[in-house]
Amino acid sequence: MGVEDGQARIDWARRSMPISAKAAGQLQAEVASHIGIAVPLDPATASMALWLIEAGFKVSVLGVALAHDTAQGAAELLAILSDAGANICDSRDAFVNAGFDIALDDKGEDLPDGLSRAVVLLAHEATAPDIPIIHLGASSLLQECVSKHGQGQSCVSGFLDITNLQIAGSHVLVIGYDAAGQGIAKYASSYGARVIVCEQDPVKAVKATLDGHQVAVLDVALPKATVVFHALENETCLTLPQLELLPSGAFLCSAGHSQHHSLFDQIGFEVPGKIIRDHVTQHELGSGTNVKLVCNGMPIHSQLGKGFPLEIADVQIAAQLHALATLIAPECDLGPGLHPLPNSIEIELAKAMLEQA
Amino acid sequence: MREHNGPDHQAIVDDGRARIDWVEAHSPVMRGMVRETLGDGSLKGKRIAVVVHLEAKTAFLALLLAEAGADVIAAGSNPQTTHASVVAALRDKGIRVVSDAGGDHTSWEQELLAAADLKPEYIIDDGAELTIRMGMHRPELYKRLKGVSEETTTGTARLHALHEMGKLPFPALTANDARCKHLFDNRYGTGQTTMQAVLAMSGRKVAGARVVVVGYGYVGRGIAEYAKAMNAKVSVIEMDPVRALEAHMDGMRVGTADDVLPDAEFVVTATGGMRAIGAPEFALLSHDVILANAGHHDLEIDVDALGEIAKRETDSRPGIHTFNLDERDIHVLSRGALVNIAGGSGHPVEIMDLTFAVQGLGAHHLVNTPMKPGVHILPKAVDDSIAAAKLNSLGIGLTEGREEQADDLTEWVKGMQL
Repeated sequence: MGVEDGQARIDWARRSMPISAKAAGQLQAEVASHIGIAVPLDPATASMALWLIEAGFKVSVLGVALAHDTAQGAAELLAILSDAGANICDSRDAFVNAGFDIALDDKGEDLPDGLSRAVVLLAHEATAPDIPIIHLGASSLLQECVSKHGQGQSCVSGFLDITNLQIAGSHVLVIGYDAAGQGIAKYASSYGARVIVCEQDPVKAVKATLDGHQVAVLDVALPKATVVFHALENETCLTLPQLELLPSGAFLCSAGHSQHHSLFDQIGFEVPGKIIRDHVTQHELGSGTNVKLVCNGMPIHSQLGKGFPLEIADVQIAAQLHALATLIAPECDLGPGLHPLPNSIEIELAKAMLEQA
Repeated sequence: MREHNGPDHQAIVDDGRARIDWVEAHSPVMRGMVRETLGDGSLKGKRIAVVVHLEAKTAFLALLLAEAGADVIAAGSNPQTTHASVVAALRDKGIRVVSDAGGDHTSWEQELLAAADLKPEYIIDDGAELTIRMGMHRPELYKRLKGVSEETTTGTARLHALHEMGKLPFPALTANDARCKHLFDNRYGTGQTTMQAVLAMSGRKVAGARVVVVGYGYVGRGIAEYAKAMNAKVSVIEMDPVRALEAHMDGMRVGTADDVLPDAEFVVTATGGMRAIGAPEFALLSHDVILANAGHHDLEIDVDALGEIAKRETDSRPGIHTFNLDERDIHVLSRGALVNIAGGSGHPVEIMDLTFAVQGLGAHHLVNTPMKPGVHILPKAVDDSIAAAKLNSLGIGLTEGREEQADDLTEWVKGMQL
């Protein structure tokens, strides 16, 4: 099927993307605007790139490292984008030298010189850019949709798809109770798990208890947990010696936004581990027990070739397109720095979602 | 590790073996209590056909029976679900496997007859598929069968029908009637994995989605419960008033097809019958609705009738077939076959640990217990022993009742002046 299969995936995604289709239809390119896109590639984001080309933008796409997709799936999508006229960059270096003046970026790190504006999905809050950047990660609508329900559904269902196991009745430990942790806990509990949450912030920990989960410190929770979901947005607090507290054979999974740093690297496993099933490696620990690392410690939703549920991708892409429209509007008066998604856009997106509900 | 197969084939065997090892690692009941019970010597030399979806979980059951000395014949119960590397791993262990992956209904019929011709004494069956074919095509061998243990609701109904017509000359055990089967396999196993398959295949969001479940038996209830737990808005169509009331009190919206189908985004059938969604229902469905089946029959969604009224048909995604009707596209998953098996990886391992414990101990019971021809239920003590073994593996203890906690009914009855 080749390219046709990639096109079929884009067509299927577009069936569930009415909100971003409408936003794309309203976009008009400035003369000679060149957009650099560095977001995880999947049929929904590929669809966004195609809409931007149709709207008259010149588009450069970073074609490596950020794939939500399998290698072949990503290659097919890139081939479609290339045929449509996108400039596909096969390295970060090539990308930053592509000469675009507007960026749609996953993290907002290593942005090239000469940019005039950017939309960033998840920026470090300490970032102090010298151009206007709209930062989507702070949007409460997107946190609810993408971080909580998108990751929750994709990561927990993905774990069950990979393992062909149940979590009903099992203790599932969720480390971190930001939106991603809340979503993991919600969906794990939906599949029947007894969820334990480890969270240092007392206010979030109270939320976890009110959501019906047990809250405990790591030393108490680890010995019970047969599945661990790591949902901290920052570096992990887990160490190799702590993993020895887990029951032997426990699963260790990652959720959250750490696209670039796997738990494997963060925890510091010394050897690659033994592949015992697709997406599962077994690591022997000093105490004679073992831990099973899922997707090599990368967030599960980013590793199964699926990305987020399509309706979730729809609202996330619509937000990017609206943010872009805001930045390129002649009347835009945003100065240098990180700006939240304008409230009026959040309200418009929320109303559009309610129309679908 | 032996590598007598040559590197290419050995890689396939090793893959199958890894899949079976995974099952063993997550099957405490089978690898503990069941292995011990089967290994008492009574199965030595007994010829047992295992005719269930031929993937790693079934393979582990076949291997345990073989390890206990049985002469095992393995066949798939559906041409779509036979797994190539699992077949290779079983053959590598010396088990006679009559099925191969990639077959169709014609080759499957031949495989079942090949299984029959190997003259099994006992069958562990799924949907009574081999039992019925032996009766129809190999009557002499059928009469010599010593017992059948049956997996499904549908197969159980078929065995009862055979018995009522005087055509069941051997004892049959209905595994499906064991509580350790239907309470968990039908409800939690099918419920969980049906939702997984529907979401994985469609790539769609579940929270807030309008999901209609047709039929509220154990299977339908499981699906509805998992969907509702994930924040779907669940509606139920059910003909039986008691079950419909149960769905209502479980918090589901209950209504007729006219009430609930027009705004459905997903429709999942679980009636155990045929044509739950047929021509009259197609007229009610909206554009872009996704239909999936979780019942034994591939005909719960009348795909043929849908094909007849469709203007166009396309494969939208792997496993998603789209029927275009004027302004509406209707998507059918796995062409109406059991979606969790045809479109997913089947029941969770822990669920099949219970189900195959029922089947394995059922075969052992048939071999060791004189029974009259007819349909029998696995003794409660055996059923209980499976749940107890599972609880034991989890480190969960049970409170024992004390004498004074029992109802004193006997004393009352003694006191009645009748």
